[in-house]
Order: sequence, then structure tokens, then C-alpha cells
Amino acid sequence: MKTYDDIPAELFVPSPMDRGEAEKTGYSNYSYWRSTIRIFLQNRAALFLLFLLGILVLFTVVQPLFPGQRPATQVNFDAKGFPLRNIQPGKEYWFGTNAIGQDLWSRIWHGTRTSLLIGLLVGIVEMGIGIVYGALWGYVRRLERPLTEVFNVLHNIPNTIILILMAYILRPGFSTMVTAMCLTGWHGMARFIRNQIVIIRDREYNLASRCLGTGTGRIIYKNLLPYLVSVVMLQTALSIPSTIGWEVFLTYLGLGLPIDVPSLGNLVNEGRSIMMSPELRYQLIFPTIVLSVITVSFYILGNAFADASDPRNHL
Amino acid sequence: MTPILSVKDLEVQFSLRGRTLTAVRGCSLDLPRGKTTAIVGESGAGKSVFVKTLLGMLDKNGKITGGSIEYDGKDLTRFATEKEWLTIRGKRIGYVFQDPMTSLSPLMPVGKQIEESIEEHQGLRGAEAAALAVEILGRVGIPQPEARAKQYPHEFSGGMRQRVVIAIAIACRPEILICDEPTTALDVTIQAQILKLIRDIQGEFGFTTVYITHDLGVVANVADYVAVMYAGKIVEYGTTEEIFYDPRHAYTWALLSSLPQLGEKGKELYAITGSPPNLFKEITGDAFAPRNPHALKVDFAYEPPLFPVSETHRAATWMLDGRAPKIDPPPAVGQIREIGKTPAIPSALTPQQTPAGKKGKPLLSVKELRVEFHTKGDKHFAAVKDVSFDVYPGETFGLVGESGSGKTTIGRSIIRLNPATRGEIRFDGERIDGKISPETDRKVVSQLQMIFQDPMASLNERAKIDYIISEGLLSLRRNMKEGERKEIVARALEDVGLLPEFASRFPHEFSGGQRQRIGIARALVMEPRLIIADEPISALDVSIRAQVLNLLGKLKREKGLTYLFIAHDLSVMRFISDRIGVISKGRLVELAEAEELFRCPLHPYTKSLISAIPQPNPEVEKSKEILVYDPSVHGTDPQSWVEITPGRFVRGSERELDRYRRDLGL
Repeated sequence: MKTYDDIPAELFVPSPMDRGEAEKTGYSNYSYWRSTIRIFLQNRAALFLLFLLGILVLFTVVQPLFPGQRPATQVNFDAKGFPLRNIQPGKEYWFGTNAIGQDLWSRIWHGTRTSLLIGLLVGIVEMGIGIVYGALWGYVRRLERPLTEVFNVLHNIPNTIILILMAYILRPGFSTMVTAMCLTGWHGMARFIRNQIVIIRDREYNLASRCLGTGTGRIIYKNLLPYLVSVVMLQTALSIPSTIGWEVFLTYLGLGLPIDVPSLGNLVNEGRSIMMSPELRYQLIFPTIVLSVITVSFYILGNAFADASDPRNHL
Repeated sequence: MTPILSVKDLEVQFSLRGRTLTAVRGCSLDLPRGKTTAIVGESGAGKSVFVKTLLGMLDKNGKITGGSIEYDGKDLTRFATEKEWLTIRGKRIGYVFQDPMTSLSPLMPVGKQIEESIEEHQGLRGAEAAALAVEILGRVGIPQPEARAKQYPHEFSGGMRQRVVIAIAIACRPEILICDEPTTALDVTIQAQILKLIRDIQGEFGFTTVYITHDLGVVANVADYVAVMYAGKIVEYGTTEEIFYDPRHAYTWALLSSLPQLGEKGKELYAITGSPPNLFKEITGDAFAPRNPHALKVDFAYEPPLFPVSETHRAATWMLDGRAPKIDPPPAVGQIREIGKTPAIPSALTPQQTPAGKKGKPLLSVKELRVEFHTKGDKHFAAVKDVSFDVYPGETFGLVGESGSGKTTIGRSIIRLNPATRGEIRFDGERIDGKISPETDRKVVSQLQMIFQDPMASLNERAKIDYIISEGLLSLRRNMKEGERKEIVARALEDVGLLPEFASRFPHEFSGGQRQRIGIARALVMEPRLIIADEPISALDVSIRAQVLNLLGKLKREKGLTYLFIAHDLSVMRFISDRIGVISKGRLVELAEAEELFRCPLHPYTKSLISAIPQPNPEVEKSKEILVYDPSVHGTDPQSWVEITPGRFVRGSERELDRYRRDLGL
């Protein structure tokens, strides 16, 4: 056996105890958000897409400020006064022009701006309505029954019918579009929040708050919603690409934005109508690429964030 | 005798959130053939990781970083593939895990699950395997094994399920059986039966058993040898007698001394301060040193080796070095032999001081309370039936029962989380069930508070301690000044033994015991008169329990609190309660003064509960007899709840009551 004779004998004396030191031993410095961000940053693909999306959004905002940009609705003429129709992509018109001679480059960025704005607005409104409705539905038991019935009725009316009716009643335009989509889009969010709240509403810390006389409002605001921040962010991020998708679909039905407001929806629709002539196909391809990049990026980012925010992955 | 399996200097590390956690820090252990070795330790001591390593079942982020495991001439640490492990795991080393709910497949009849194990490891097929499966099911004490073999796990109770798990483990006749907290999820009466079963089949099959447990009562019951683990190291090893009657390590001393069975009523229990160390950090010296009141300076600087005490007994402490001063173990350690022998635990209170004997008006009065829950359709399930009891100011009233007995529901319906279906609840003379006026509501909210079971679930993780503690005040006293609130929070933290600067932190930074104390502080700021404590210590480690029990006792003395203490652990109950109500299947069956109840239990259910208490004293535990309660002994005569002597109630038919009176010598 190894000997320990080299240990100085004067150490073999009682050592006074330090209470504070004993309390400190169990300390852990785990932090939910720090871990979430760290896991997210480990995902290279998501980081790249985040970067790409950032650049794209920034570019759509600042694009009109660059020198030599043509307004998106301006019809361009050649020296003789004829409109420059269906010009192939080239030095002058990077993405070519459309059937009436408008610059496709400008139209695409303007359209992206419109579509992203719709997506963002609808996403935020859906989140707002969804949180309020879902939280009351999930937590306040007296309201459970009536809110379920209201939800069932509204949710069972097909979205397309509501959207078509809205488009008939109101003048087609940006605000009509946003209103119509908000009217139908909050259902999913409300049900999602409700389900999440039902899962956590009877945990002991909520019972404790009820024993302490904390009101319903404060329980929702301080005890329930903070637990849902990450999943709500994820849902909102995912609703942006789906809203853009709806916009494209509505335009295809002929209920979309008027032709003088460029959006990814009516650009894709325009391109689709002339898809069969190979030399004009660029008019479909360019907007579709931008649309795909935005949609796919949001989905992948959303999922990367969902993985990162799941405490089970915080190893 | 050569050991069947021998572990040398095992080290296991996990990579967790980008850091390295050393869960097992150089453990050596020999398993004597045919004997039972128990590994005791608190959560996080590394005992589960240790045995999972023996089975090759480490989680994917863990790896063996040193040492060896010799078994059957092979070094198991060199196994690289799952295929190699499968030649050992399940086949030669069987295992039984804690939770029988998750160890069985819900989609397969239990007979089939045993057959699978037989076919996999013994090469029997079809009818032969099926017959053997039925035989084994019978062997583990399942009645009508043929019929039961065709049933699914959800048709079995928790204890029966654990028997099935044991049947699967022994079906392939392992040489070693590893039981990881096999009875922690079960009630005490079931626990005693399962422990007996394992001991019986061990005798019959002749395997070597390894137990992992935090319960010293279980250790005393089953073990031949005991290894005490702390912070990833085995700090003491010896025969059960040596560990219980002649412990040498300060941690073993502390563990044994903090047992509630050794406490004196009305006095403080011996408590270990602080919490177990964080294994992410490099530990120098003895890991227990910062919490050890007997620590030497050398403990902080050098890691103690395992000093031999006797041929079988070793302890890792510098106190055994020749140069160390002689330190005597705490006096409580010497009393272990007495546990379970003396009928009553000594009381520091004189009879006049005991708050029993009805003093004045009851603070809380529950009359014929019935609580029903809706199940599918129009059916009702009554969790609590006709329960009546009074709680007097200044006493601790204990409500004891097994899982599903309705004890938690009673607590929750008093605090109005579950509405009472029938009956009445009065607090300080006023009815508080059903609809009550806003003034009464405010009064009840502040004067009636609750402490919850699970400190991990009962604090809002997304709020700071500051908010959590003053939450009740925010709604009770809306116009309170910020400075006053801060002061109250700081005072409450000090009351529960925490530092005031903890107020700005989040709950996840604290250990279980600290979190439980924060939960107590949260109830305290309301200045309550009655606190309902629902299993406040059952989720805590042994070394932390005493801290919390002492805190509750101190607050009772200083602030004149009254407790309704709900628990399943009778030895804790006996230590803390003045009067105890025993509840079974939603009905109170007996209510008496604590010592009276232990001295002379009347109801057969109470008798079986008391007989099943695990006693951390090997002499008593190894020879104890368990009484099994069979509800059919009551026959069909109508039962009533009767005050049989002043202050003592029992439930029974006329004939039974006569017998109880005779038992009491009336």
C-alpha cells in the first residue's frame, strides 16, 4: 500500500466549519436561454440560413435606395418609344422584363417586401389573438366550454370560403388580404397555446400560486406564458412562410393583391401563365427561387430552434 | 472466498452541456458470491451510474475513463459492442429497475414478456417456454399464474408489476441480480413483501444480489455487505453490522444520526448542513469535508485512502490515520441498536406540554368530508369518504396513508384546490368550503398555507426567488412599498436559513433542499396559522430531510404554527406528529396520539402499516414479521367511526369495537 507519511502532521487538526461554504456546494449555473442559444449556434446549417435570410431581408429593405434602381411599377420603353417587353435577363435588366416591360429585378424585391410584410403582420396578429384566446381557453375553466364551442364553429368553416367572401365584400388590396388571413389563421395558434397550457396548468407551482391567492391574469402572465415563449416563437416563425404560401394561393385563385402591387404571389402567378414558352420561363424561375429560399429557411430555422429550445437536448 | 465480480478504480465521466461531469471517481468493489451487497447514497452520489456501468447501459454521453470490471475472467470495460454486452446483460447479470410502470411493455401480455426472456437466453421454445413462464410467475407470488400470464401490465397493481419485472429478470437464471431502488415507487407494505420475495428466491436460485437504495431501512433488511457512496466514491465498506454498529466515516455517522427514529420529540434532529457537491468541479481532498463538522485540515488538501478497520471493513477517512486526533462518533450513532426495540421514542416534552388532550376550540375542523371526481361519462369516483377530524392550535396533526388513500385530496380540498362534494370544513369556526365571502377568502388565503411535495416542480422556474417569495403579498397587500417587500423577503430567507442575496437568483440554481426551504419561505411571508405540508420531505435526500424537519420544528416553536402533516412515512410521522390519523382507501380508520398509536395500534390496517416500517437496525429488521392487511376480515357488518376512548377514534363494526376495547383493557 502507498504510504502517506509525507503529508505534514500539522494538518491533522480539526478545521472550523464554514456554513456558507456548505450551502454553496449544491450550486448549479444552468440557464435555459443560454443553453438554447448555445445548441442553436452549434447547428451550422441553421446559422448559414439565418445569415442568408438576414441578408435577404436587409436587401429587400434597402434595395430601392441603391443608385440606378427602377420603380417596380414603371413601364420601360426603348429609344423609339416601344415598351421593352419580355427582355431576356442581361446586363441592363438583370432579371429581364415582364410582358408589359416592367423591370423584373425591382418587381421581385418589391414583391418580397410586400409578402414578408404580410407574413410578419399576420404572424404577429395571429400570435396576439392566439395567446389571448388560447390562454383563457386553457386556464379559465368556466370559459372552457363556451370557447370550445366557438372554436369548433369557426374552425369548421373552410378557410377558402372565408377568404373568398372577404375578397368579394371588401376591395382587394393589402389590408383586405391581411385582415382575411388573420381571421382564419389564429385558430391553429389558439389551439396550440391551449394544449400547452392544459399540460402545465396543474403543475405544483401553479397550485402554489393559487394557494397564495394570485389572480388568474397574473398566473397566466407570470406562470404560464413564460414557459411558452420558445414554442410560441417557433410557431410564429413557421406561420410566416405558410402565410406567404396562402398569399400565392389566393392570387392564383384571382383573389390576391391587384396587379399594380407586386407581391411574390402575383409574380409567381404571372410567371405560371407563360410557363409553357421556354424562353419566358425566367419570369417564373426567379420569383420561385426567392420564394423557396424564404420558405425553406424559415422552416429549417424554426425546426433548429425547436430542437435547441427542448430542455431534453440541453446536454 | 473469491468475489464473483470485482471492480477496480472505476471512473466514469459524462459530457454534459459542454462540460465534463465525473460521476464515478475511482470506485473499487468486490461482490462476494451468493451474498447481498447494498450500495447506499444520496441522489447524485453515482450509485446508479455505477451499476449501469456493470451492465453496459451508460447513456450515450457517458464513458468509462478508467479502471476495470473483472467478471468471469473478462474485463467488461473492454467491451466495445452491444453484442458483447448481450452475452452478459440480462443473461448472466439480471436487473430490476425502480419504476415497474416503465420497465414493462404495455402492448404485450406479461407471460409473453417472460417467454421472450426465456427464449432469448435459455433456448427453450414455444410451449416449453410458456410453461416455464407460468411457473416463474407463480414462483414470484402471482396468484393464478396461468390466467394472469395472459393479462397486460395495466391490469396489474404496482407491486404485482414489480413481481413480473423480477420474474423476467430471474427467468434466465442470472448469476448476479442488480436491483436499482426496486421498492422506492411502492408502498411500505408492498415494499416489505417484495424485499422478502427477492430474499427467498435468492436462497432458492443462489444468485448474488446488488441493491441500490437510499433507504437505510431497506439496507438493514436485505444486505450482508454495505458500500456507502458519496460524491462518486465509496467512502465506507463493510458488513451490515459493521456499518450500522461501528461506522467510521463522518458521512456514515451523519447519515445514521439524521434518522428520524433517533430523534427526540420536540428537539432538533441531527442534520447535515449544505448539499452534496457539484461533480463538474475538481474535488480536492475529501468531498464531504465542507459539510463535515469533524473535518480535519488534511481533509481539504489530500484525498483519504481506504483505511482498513477490520478484514471486511474499510473507510476512506483521515480520522483513521495514526496522526489524527481521536474523534468520537455523535452519540446518536450508538443508539442504532435500540431502534425498533423500545416501544416509544423518548420525548423532550413533559406530559403537560404535549398539546394533545383537547385544548380549546379546534383551529381546523373537518366533518364528514366527501370528495368525488368525475370520470368518463356520469360516473363518480369518491377519493375521500366521510372523513372527520379536528386540528387544534399549536399541534402537528399527521395524516398517514399509502398512495391512493386520498390523503393528498383531503389536504387539497381544505385549501380549496379540490372542491368538497359533501361535508363541511371549518377554519377558526368559519365555514370555508363552497362559496365564501371575499373577506373570508382573504383571511383563508393568508392564514392557511401549503408546502408541496416536489421542490423541483413547486417553484416557478421563470421567476426570481424575490418574486416567488413575495408572490402572496402582491395580491394580499396591493399597496405595499417596494422597500418593505424587499425587507420581508430578506427576513423570510434568513428564517429558513438561506442567504438574503439569493433573492435575485432563479430556482434552477438551487438544490432540492434549498428549493424546499424557499417553498417554506413563500408560505411563511403570509404569516399563516395553519400550514398543510403535503409530503414535504419525501422527495428529498436523507441528509436534507433532517434540515427541513428541523426547520419546520423551529418555525412551529417560534411562530406558534399548526401543521397538518401529510406523509406516507410512519417513522417521520412518529417523530414530528402529536396526533396521527391513519387513512385507507379514502376513509380514516384510526386516529390517536402518536405514541399511543405506536404503542397499541387497534385497527388491523394500522397494525400492518406499523409492522412494515423499515427499521434501520439490522438485528430488528432481519427478524421482523410483517402483518398483511386483508380488508375482508371486517366481514359485512356495518362499520362506524367511534371515539373509543377520549381523543382516540377507530373505525369498526360493533363486534370489532368490543374487541378493541378489550385490547385497550377497558
